[in-house]
Amino acid sequence: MNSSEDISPKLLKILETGVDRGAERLAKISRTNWIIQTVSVRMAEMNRIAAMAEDEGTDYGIFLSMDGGGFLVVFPEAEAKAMASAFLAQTEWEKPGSRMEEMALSEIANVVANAIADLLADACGRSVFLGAPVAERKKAGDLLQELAKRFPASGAQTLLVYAHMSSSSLSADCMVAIILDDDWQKALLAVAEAEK
Amino acid sequence: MKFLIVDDSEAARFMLKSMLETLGHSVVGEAGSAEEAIAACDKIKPEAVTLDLSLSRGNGLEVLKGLRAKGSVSKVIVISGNSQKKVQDELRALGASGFLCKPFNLEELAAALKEIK
Repeated sequence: MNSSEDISPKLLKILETGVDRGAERLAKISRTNWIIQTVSVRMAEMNRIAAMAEDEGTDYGIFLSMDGGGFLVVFPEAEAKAMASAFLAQTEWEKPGSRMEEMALSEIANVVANAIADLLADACGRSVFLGAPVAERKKAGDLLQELAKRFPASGAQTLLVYAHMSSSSLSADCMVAIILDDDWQKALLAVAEAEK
Repeated sequence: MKFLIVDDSEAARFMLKSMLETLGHSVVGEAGSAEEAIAACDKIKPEAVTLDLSLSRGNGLEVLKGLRAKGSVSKVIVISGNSQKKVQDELRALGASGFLCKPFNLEELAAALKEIK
């Protein structure tokens, strides 16, 4: 498993800018500032991806597909209600049996994933449409394993971006994992090479 | 104006409907997939359509192509987290009237709607 030091600086810059944009969009959704605590980018073998999860609690995982890969955005279940409330900023949604919490988190994940997808697409001169979000509640390790099953990218390497963000009024971990196939990785590396 | 909201997310449709009504507009229909959107637009003939690009089946680009193929004259404002240059160029070529990047607030929605009037 390689660490951020082994990733092309240009590719790192693209992904870090994507996370920055994701944090900016989260700030706008929740009307509070978010600080990016950690961003790490690693290449991982598919069969070792689940070991990267650090959280043992139950999480909301939102999967978003795209041509040549997919996204997983994870929020801890304990913080889900606060996140959904911040997004909706209304009280009427909170009724028994409502799936609005899950839907709000899915929409937040959609906005964060699109921030990163936009950067990747523009860098490579491509068009990317993310599929509709699909939410599941599991441990982070199980969600990561499912990511590899849902989006079996060609090639043995998975690009994983981990970001932890926090705000003064809301405290939330947000992990983003991305699978990109060989074609995407080659396109991004070509961009990196062209910058040298 | 009378709007059709096209977005796969019920939460997003809920918020957008509330905002449009606050701004004095009415929402005459909602759709979550490309097929539903084209059928609803054909039936309701709204003055304007808010169009998300990520849909449960298909995408917003397919919807806009479908609407134009059917001769729809509804104004289309694209409201999406997707702000890719290549996608926006294609949407403009198909006659999209305006763009608004998610997330947005009431003032930004009002300004975007003013642009398409």
